[in-house]
Amino acid sequence: MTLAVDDIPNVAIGHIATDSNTAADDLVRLVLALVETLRQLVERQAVRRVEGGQLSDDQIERLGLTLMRLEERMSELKTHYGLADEDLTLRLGPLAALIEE
Amino acid sequence: MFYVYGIVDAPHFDSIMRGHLGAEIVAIACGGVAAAASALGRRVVPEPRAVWRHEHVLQALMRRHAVLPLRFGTMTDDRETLRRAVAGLLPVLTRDFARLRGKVELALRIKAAELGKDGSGPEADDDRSRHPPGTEYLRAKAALQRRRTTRQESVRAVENALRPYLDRYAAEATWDADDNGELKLTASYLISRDDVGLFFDVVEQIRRAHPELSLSCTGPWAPYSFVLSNTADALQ
Repeated sequence: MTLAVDDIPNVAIGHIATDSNTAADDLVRLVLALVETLRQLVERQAVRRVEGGQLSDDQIERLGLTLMRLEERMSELKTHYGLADEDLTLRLGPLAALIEE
Repeated sequence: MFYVYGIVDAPHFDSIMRGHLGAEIVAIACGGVAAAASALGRRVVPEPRAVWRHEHVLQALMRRHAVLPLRFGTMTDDRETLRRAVAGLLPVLTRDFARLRGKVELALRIKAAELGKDGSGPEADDDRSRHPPGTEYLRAKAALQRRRTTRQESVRAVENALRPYLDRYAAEATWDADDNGELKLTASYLISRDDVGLFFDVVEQIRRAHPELSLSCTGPWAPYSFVLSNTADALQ
């Protein structure tokens, strides 16, 4: 997949407010959204490699455990900050294909 | 503060119905266009009657003008902020008016029993005890992705089957699949106002030919999905 500069979307989940009361919360939301997007991307790649038969049983188990703990940790963070899955959805435009493919 | 309903392709418009909270709807002109807005003392609560009021104002304006609708709840602090935002967007507003003049949006929702079917086979349950937790986690994720792919393929098949009939009346169309539990297809069609009846006829023919599809078509609406100028963001 190739991307032209013009394809790079305005990646956003809303605005980071300049209001000091909400800016910190918005920043946490943005950071967690980025981490969650990367986590999903890594997970997709891991599944692809497993299904492609590229990994040994031991490698699969270690990778699976790592991803499972990462998902659990993300779930804890979402609960801690009162965020739902949709709060962490980035508008990726054409970059969404990286996750969806 | 001002509540903004939409942008009209003329610097003035005749007095129409009252807006939110009984306020007058005024034209705030900039260049050859105007923002249709009401001066309000407070924000509008997003409840059904208010949402319909927003839509009715747009429909009233559309009887005589091309209108670029803004989403419900768009507010700005003062007249000058609004005027500056519109001035900064004039080139793209002009292009939007050229594309959307005389056209309306129709919304399609399609549900089909087979779209929501779980595409998984008897995958992993029997094997679960034989795999350690990390492996089982990845196997479950792989199965989930396969099911998702199967559903997306069946959704695309429905879309590809219907589009040749629907697109012939469309200036533009967008399709989207919502996979949030119950899977459904949504589409927005930009149709010439003169072709609305023909489009509804085609939808009715599809509905009769495919009773397995739950197909609804609503509108005509202001062309929300096809406005490229982002006035609401410019007002932030």
